[in-house]
Amino acid sequence: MTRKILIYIGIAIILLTIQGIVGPWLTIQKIRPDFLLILVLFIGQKEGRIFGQLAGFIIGITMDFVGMSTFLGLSAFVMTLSGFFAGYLKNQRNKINIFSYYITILVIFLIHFFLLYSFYYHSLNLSLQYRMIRYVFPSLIYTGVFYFLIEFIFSKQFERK
Amino acid sequence: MFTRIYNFVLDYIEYVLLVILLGVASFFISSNENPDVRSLQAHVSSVLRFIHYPAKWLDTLSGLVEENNSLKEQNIQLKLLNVKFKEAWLENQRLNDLMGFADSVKMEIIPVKVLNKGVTPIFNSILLDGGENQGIAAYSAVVTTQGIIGKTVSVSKNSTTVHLINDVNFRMGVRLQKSRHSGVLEPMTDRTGLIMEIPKTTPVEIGEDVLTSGYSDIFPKGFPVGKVEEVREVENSIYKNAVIKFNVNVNTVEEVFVVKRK
Repeated sequence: MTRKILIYIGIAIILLTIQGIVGPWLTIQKIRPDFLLILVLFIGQKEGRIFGQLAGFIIGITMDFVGMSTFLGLSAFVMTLSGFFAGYLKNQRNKINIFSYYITILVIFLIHFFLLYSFYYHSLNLSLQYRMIRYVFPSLIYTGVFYFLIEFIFSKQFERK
Repeated sequence: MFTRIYNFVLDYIEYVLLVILLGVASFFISSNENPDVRSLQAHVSSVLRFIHYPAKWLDTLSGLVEENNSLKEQNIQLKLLNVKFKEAWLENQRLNDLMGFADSVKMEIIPVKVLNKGVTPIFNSILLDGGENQGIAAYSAVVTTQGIIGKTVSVSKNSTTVHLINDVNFRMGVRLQKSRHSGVLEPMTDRTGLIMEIPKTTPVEIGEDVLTSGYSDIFPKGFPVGKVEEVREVENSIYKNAVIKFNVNVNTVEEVFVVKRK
């Protein structure tokens, strides 16, 4: 277990570095992919709800301290929830319809970005439609594309598990 | 009684843990301005500074950055001087010598490199490659040669988190250079902000310079912020709003200057 935790910490540090380097380059109209959310989802799916939410909280709070000037704790809040929800998918990959499985993942992305942008932009009084079209759906699609790319690359490993 | 509580916690450990973690996250959200939280942020970002080394290394490969620093510092002083000359000229026109325009051009600035432009989907901060060791203090203005970019919020020995001008929570006292109207600038989008409640009788020109008002302890007076891009009339109101385009594109900054607090 300790070895596994160390591996996850290592991956998280590498992704944090990658996010810092390529994040600004991949930003399109203020939307950038969230590689650490992808990691939290994978951890949740693999290790379950307890580990998923703990990983989400630790990664989220680290992101807040390194990359937020206001709303410290917001990433931790939404990442904890995402890790928790992803934990429901543990060992479900071969049990439920694959279509339902991926829809669930997209719903987790949707909840994550909806909460993130709703909290962050609450003072601007942006309409729900604007928030969804301008921020939530583009973030969902952008991060989703990377999620499915990574999932495709490592699909063999997932099937083995 | 305790056994029942213990069993309940064990049975619902996932949910209990979820409530605790969300509670801690909520505590952080509600105590952002707490000095202890800011100090913790400074320590964490200082410890995790090493994750930015690859980006820093890639950046310094060009070798031109260091060479440009002194030139940029000179440039910023000249631009400031230019703004002050404009100010003085307008003031002279109004024959308002009594105001005793303070000579505040001379200010100490610290050149710093941008270490990181955020790791969250929300881009509201940058991390600077310098901190207390370089003489940076919390709540100091951060500028580029074009104008204001933000303010420092948490400072560790060697790194500083900057609250950017385009963050939804950023507010700054500004003044329209020609009409002399002062107001509070609120960010709207990545590159624009809004000055509200300008009396309809106040003439506001498109392209007019917007400067810091000097009413704040953080931002020096007369520093460029942006230009008026649009004037929006408000129906059934005695006020109008002005949309300001920021001079600085925060997405592209690589080196900034921190104005040393006196």
